[in-house]
Amino acid sequence: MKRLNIKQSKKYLVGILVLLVLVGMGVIWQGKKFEIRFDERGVALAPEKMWYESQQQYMEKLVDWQEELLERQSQDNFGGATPEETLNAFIEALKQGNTELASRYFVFNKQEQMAKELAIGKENGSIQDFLTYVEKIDRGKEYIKNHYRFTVVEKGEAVMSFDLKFNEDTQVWKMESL
Amino acid sequence: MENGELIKKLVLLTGMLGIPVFSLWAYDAETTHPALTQEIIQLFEHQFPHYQLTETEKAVLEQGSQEEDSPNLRCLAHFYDPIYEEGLFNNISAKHWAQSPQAQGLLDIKYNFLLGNFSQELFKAKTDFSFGRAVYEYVYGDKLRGLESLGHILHLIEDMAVPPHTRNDSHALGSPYEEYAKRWTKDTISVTEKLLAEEKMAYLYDNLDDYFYHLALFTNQNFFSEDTILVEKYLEPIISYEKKETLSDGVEHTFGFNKINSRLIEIEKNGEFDFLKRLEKQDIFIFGDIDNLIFTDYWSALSKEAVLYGAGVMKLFFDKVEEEQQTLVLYNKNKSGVGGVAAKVMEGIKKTLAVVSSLTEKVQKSVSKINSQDLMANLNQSEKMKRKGRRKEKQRKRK
Repeated sequence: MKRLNIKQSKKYLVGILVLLVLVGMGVIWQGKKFEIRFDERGVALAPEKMWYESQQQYMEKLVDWQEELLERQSQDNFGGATPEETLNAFIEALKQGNTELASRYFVFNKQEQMAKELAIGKENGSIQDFLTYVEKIDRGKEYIKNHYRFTVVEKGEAVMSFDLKFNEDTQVWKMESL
Repeated sequence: MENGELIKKLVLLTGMLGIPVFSLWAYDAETTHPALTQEIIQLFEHQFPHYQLTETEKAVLEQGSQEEDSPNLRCLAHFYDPIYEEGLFNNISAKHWAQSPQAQGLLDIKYNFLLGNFSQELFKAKTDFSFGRAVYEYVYGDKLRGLESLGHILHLIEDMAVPPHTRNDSHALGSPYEEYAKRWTKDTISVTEKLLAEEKMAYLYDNLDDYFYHLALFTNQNFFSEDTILVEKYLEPIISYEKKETLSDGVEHTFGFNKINSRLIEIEKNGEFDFLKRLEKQDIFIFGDIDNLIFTDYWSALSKEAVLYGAGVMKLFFDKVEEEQQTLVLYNKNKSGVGGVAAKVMEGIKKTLAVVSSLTEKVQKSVSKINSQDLMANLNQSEKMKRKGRRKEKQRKRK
């Protein structure tokens, strides 16, 4: 078996060290990345703390995460200038059977989930039932600044409501909940 | 580049990053926090007339309660779940943050660059506004810096009266309740007036932990946050009873009440339209109502508790100030790490020098008392004795 001389050993050692540094940098770079994800209620899921991150690094990552959320919100310009405009456009898209388009009238954190739900609703016919309810909307109110609620009334009692939220960055109203 | 320049640039960079993004998660720092702090001071002065603050001192307290949200990293430490004893996303809880000069000192780049508490005093970081620092500064340093730190603590206490902060609900995109609470400013708020009319008194505990725990528990157990309505994680609050009320739209709305008779939630009977389950309808719980009766109830109960606990914290602060003047606990704690060792070594050297100096002084005094002729006589006598001794020795050897 051939023995390594000192020069060769040094070369191997340097090579291993460089490799370790590169792997370390890769791991750290991966750790800094985070995916913006939401649960089925539209709640943003925070990135997890990596084992090699200090508490402060993790906190900085959370700050970046929230900035990214707000950045995405500030780009969400699909909607109407008034709550009525957005609601009517949403209903129109549903009547046309375009659930993908309808889902885009929702706030950005609920669009993916609503696209899924509306597609299923189209399949099982519940969208038709829903549209009959929507016809019954007869009143709405901006109850807090930038928060608007439409109400469906049956026999003098509130039975269903639709909330909309104003996006101050893009100046459009977005559907928030059904 | 010199170190100083580097540090300045790093500090500048940190400052640039300090956009108050996370302030969305709490009462508004510009309006609601100073308003609550103003009410806390009023109740404190009323209940403890012995302590009267100057206008400057009040302004500094309010300033501290405004500044706790900046830089934004601090906001991540403004959560405390008393059920699971944790902060948001496993970060430090508000209860511990309020009492940790080390954790708060981590945000001071210069302090950390010089190895933090290892080489410097504990209460030296510019970003430390902990309770201990507040007391230390008030007793030994800058009284106003002490009160500014107390303002930061009051901010944290006020946050314990915000449901998302005690139910670990990050609510990263804002909440309608916080939007509602913005209306309460120093000019519109009147919490203390109501408390005095009800003859309510500040809560008194002998440690800060209890203030955080009891207020956070009250909030957690009695109120929902938008994303934690009837979730499995928390057994409370529950809807104790339901009641129908006619609102400004002329329509009947159903409300769920908690055990302290606050409106918790609006309930739409069989209101949820679930596309996935088709016509399987169920009750839907809505956070907020068109006349803001729910948020008004939340505010009414929570703001009172915030003020009652906050006034108690102020009393605790002044009690701790008096205690520190007797015990010097924080004074000694401040000299920890190498700085502490160095201080102790220096103290030792000083004591040794003092002993040596006193001995020298004594010797000098004794010497000065001796008559020089007597001294010479004594020396001669001693010389004679020595010679005599040597002669005797020689004679002994000859024999």
